[in-house]
Amino acid sequence: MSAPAGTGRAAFGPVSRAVIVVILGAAALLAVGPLLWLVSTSVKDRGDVFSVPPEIIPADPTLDNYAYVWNQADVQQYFANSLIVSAGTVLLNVSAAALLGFALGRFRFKGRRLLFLLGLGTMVVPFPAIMLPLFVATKEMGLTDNLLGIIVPTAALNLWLSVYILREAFGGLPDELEEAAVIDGCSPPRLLFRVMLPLVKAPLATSAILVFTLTWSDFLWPLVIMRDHTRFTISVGLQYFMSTLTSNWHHIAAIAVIASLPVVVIFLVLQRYFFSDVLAGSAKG
Amino acid sequence: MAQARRAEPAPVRAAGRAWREVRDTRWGWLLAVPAVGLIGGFVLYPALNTLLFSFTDFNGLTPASWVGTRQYQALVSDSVFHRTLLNSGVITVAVTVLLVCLPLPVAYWIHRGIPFRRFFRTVLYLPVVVPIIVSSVAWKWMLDDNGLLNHGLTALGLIDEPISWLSDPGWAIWSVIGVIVWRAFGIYLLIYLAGLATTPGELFEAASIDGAGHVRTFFSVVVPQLRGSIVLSSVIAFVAAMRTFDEIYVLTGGGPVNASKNTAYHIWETAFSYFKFGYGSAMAVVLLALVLGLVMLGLRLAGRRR
Amino acid sequence: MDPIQPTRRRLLTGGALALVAGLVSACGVFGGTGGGPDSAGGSGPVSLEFWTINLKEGYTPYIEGAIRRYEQDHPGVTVKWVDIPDFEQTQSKLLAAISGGATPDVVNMTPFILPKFAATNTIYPIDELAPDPAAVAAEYTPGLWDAGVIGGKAYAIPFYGSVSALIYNTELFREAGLDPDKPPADWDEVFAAAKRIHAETGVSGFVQTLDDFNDAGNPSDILAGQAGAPLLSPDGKTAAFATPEAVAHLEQYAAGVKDGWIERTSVNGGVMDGAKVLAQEKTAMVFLGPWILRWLEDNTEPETFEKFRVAAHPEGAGGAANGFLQQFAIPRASKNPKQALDFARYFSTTTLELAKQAPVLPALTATAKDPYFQSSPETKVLVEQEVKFYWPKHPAVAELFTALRTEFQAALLGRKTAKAALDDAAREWNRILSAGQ
Repeated sequence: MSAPAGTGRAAFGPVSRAVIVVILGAAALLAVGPLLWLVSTSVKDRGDVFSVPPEIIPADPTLDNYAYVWNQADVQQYFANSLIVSAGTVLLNVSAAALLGFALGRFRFKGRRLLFLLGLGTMVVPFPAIMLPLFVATKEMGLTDNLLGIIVPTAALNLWLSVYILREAFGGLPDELEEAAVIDGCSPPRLLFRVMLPLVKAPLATSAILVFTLTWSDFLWPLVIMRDHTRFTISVGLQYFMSTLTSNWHHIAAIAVIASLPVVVIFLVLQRYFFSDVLAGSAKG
Repeated sequence: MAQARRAEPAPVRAAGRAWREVRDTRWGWLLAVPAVGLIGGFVLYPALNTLLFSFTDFNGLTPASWVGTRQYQALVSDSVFHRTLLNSGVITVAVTVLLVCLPLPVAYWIHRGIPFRRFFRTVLYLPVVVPIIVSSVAWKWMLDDNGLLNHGLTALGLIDEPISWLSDPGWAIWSVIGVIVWRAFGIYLLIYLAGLATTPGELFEAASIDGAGHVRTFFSVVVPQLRGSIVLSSVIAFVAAMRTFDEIYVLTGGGPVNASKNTAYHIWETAFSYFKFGYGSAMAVVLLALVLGLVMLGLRLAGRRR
Repeated sequence: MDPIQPTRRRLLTGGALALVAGLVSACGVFGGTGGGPDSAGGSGPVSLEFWTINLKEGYTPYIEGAIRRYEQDHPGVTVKWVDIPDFEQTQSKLLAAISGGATPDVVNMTPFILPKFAATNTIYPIDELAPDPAAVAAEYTPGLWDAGVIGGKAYAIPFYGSVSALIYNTELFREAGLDPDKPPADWDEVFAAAKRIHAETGVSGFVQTLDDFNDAGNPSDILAGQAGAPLLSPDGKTAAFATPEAVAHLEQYAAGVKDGWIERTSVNGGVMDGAKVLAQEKTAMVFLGPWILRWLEDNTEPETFEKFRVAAHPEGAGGAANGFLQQFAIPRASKNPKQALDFARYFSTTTLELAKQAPVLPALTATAKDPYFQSSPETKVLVEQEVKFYWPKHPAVAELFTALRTEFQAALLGRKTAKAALDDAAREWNRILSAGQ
């Protein structure tokens, strides 16, 4: 990754730089403080969870807690379920949203405003209000016994987030692009897949990472809808470790770290779509 | 990233008008099928049931009776419900404003190049990745009277007495807001950085040649360039803040004395803890009507300005 | 048995919404299915779905072993075990399951939600399934059995319970000049000790959280167990707790929070927040079931853990220690309710094995007599204390408790006098109680 396009070598003077670094340093400390505590708790062998101030660097670090939780029955299964569920949800959500976002952004058709507003309305429906009927509907479709029971409703509940992002993205592409394609006799699917989709990679990545994050940490719906605990996701599964009778914080911390890693990886992988210079200027309006 | 441009289709040239209309309508709805199916089956359809429930005394377990508008009448004088609406408003406004504004200068700094920029970019995103349920419990302990935050503030000499972040009615809602902002900050930073990545560098050079300082560059280049991203952030933050549930569930349970209870949490409590689905559904309908009314108003005002 | 069917018909007469209702019913959202009550027993393979709360982590070998033994003794019966991680979520999951007609056969409940299911007739009374219910009842500790008796009928088989005890920090007692071998025995002594500890050491005397889903520290125990005020009038129709004794007792709490000898976390914390303050040695006493010792052992340094000791719960005017209970209920939708009851009764006989892993109180009288419970202080306090459940057996119990907790918070924060808070709480209770449901 190179420096952002057009950034002067010395955008900030030395004093400003120092001030900014101090401010961001404080922000970074606030951001990772609780996480450092988690990580350090996860490598301690016993005790000392709540002392103030905490001992951040343990004298005698150990990976036993990781071994313990990873080898607990079903934890690997939860982890795999979460990956499948999150990936499936992102795929379904972003595909459906890309099609509609393309239509809303490029085509002028009757009912599109109403459709868009109706969809926007669905975004503010508080989840507890529809949970019970949603359960019944999902069950009627026979989805309580497989991961689709999490994937499909979750993709639907967060659909408009992606639709919104992608409508803006497609709408923001230069008109000349479309005109040129139309003159070439390009059909709408061709226009979408060949011409426009490659130009909205950044918004696609934004939607994907948003939906992935939301799905990954969701715990109420996966718990309610799945009958069989071998189909629970990691956010549900880690609550087993947080139970009153057994909550050992070394184990909770270890499983929390395990549960966070995939999102870190996804972020590191996808971030090049956000920041790479290739994109600069391509999605311009 | 989408730029400051309304999502209207390309201007229709007279030549292709008729052809385009046919094409647009046919393809528009065809492309909408998967999305409409998902939303219809898994959101609108359950929501219609919720609308139905709101006119019944449904308890989640046994046959319900039609009670007309009784639930709505009861809401008129329910002071806890009113309080939760107010709290929802406070949380939504505060979270939206903070999450839309705070990451802007940070994105600008990181984009324009400061030492350790990649480090900061990654570290500030980290809170997003930890499961909410875990980070909220960690925060619950940080915010305790004997917790790390009070310890740190006392050590720095900023406070004399520990602050009861979670058990003081004045602070509780702000603690919830703080944890939400802490967690989601990275998402908005990311959106802005993505927006800036598509901003031509010449704009900054031009501003610099004009002798514009950072403050002026920020307001004359960054903010207008990021208008699309800012609108997007506002929408996402608004929606997420309205739905706030997990943080309240873990941190305060809505207390003390309902000081941090929002309507979404109250609906959950009413339906799933009190078994009053009819009443909870009526709350949801009222909340939804209020929000949609506000959104429409906002869109109309925004439309008029253009 | 289609619980929601009549709704649909009534809704269809609803005029303006008939169209919507038609749409909804046409798509079958209201269509629940359930087993009939007469399909009980019978031959052929039987499959039971069994829900527990929060026992998977750490107790899987116990549960699975017990299930395997049952299956071996009952050829043709298979048991599918589902463990729900969290008490509150059990309720959501169960409600969803019942609406969707996908209920378990044996479900772990608590006295907190049982009354609602009993009042709506969605679970079986035991007498419909057992030929001699009195004989079943006789096997269990009366206090634990009675917690499941609602309106004269038993609806639950007790599984395991817990009794509130005093867990305290001997080191802080010593520092305050108190004798660690003589922990406070009643509430006057608790308050006096707490004041002294705060004055001498600077930390708070005790924490008593107002959280409502756990076995200790809830407002009803403060009123009924500690101050001896009855929660409800004898006919169960009005609140009766706003007595002068209760007001005086709550005034002590308010003063304690204000002056610092009661931990402020009490106001809006949950049980585990209280336990955490004890673990940090920032408070000297907590009133919880002895199971918390296991948690303390896991999460504190060994030298800290050694300072904690368990004693009998201080005696209150209510005359018995506050208890908490896990029960089994049989949903109406079970296809094999008799087999389910048999399994539930069997499972309650296995609690000795559970108790050996975590100090919990078995429900069967015979098990409680096992010498194991005399083997350590934390098991002794379980079986030697008298237990009561200071919870109103009312379908709206959750709502009643929220109202009580909210008013308690106002009193502890000094926003209302103790009297005003209790009067307001009583008014709110009367409103909820008269609203029916």
